[in-house]
Amino acid sequence: MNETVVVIIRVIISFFTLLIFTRLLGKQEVGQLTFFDYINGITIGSIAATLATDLSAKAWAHWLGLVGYALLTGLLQYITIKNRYLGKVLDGEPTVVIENGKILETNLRKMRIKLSELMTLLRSQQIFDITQVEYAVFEINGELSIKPKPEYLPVTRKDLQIPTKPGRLATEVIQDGVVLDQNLEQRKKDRDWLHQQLRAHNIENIKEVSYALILPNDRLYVDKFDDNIGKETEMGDYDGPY
Amino acid sequence: MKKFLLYFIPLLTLSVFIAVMNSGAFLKQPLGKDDRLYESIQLIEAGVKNKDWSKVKTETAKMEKAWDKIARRIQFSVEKEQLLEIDGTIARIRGAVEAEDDQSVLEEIYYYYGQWEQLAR
Repeated sequence: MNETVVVIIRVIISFFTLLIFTRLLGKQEVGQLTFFDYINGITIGSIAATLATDLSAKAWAHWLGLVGYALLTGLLQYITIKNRYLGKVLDGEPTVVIENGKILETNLRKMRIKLSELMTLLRSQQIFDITQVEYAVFEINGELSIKPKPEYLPVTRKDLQIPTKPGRLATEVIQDGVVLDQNLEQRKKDRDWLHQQLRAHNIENIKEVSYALILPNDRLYVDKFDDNIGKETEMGDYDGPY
Repeated sequence: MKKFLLYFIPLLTLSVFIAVMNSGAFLKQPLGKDDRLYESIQLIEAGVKNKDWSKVKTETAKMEKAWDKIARRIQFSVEKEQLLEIDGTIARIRGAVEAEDDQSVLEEIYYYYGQWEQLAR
């Protein structure tokens, strides 16, 4: 048995299987994973690693385990989307743990959170005075959402009646010296406009441009490959080589 | 076309993986003239029973070559221990043939038949 070749083939199988399954299971952000999602992800990863390197069992057995976990995860995702009740049973639901500055001990106990943990979560949200909190809700992904009492909320533009314009996004128009025509069209601009703007930045050739964006205010942000940065930004304090 | 490829490529990839992981049962069967392991061992068994040791020794060499070939192509779909165990059985058959010990050869051959049945199942 040529172990090296077998491991390489099994790594290819587990790597691409994992890639396909994670793409199929959607892109829930890591920060929004529930505790179960987190543990489930670790288990799936562990099975994939075993599939790649444990030659004492057939690859097929591990692969089936991987497929089983992925299928059940997909099934549970489907159920939680389709059935509100089962979704609550499986995912849990947010729980209020502070109301009007008062800690709701019963809810804390139900969620098995210690007071010290609650205080840590409050401090991590810049709340050092519990009386400033109107509501604190413990989310299903383990995060604490806080609604401060109105008198402690920051002043907004609306409060001060400062006029605002609707926000837009910046649009990429050049990447690595290549013009993205589709994006230019989206912002109702053409190449002539782009060249004109580049000339204003003393750029004659698009190939000099590493990255260019049309900003929300319709101005062009340009970054050249040649940054002309002096030694003053050098962070290292040794000559090297490292 | 792009959408078709988007679904077709992952499906094809998974199908190839499934085929590779389950190819053992097919690949352990002879695909040419010099990989007829099971047949070689049956001939060794017959030779030992007839006390035809020169024929048995020729078949033993063939058996070893056949096993090397088969092991190389089934290694992706079977357990490492199974391969090592058959390696051992084949080495013991060779030793017993060298010693012209018919009783040991037959013992190992029947042990091999059992292993062959289980291989890639």
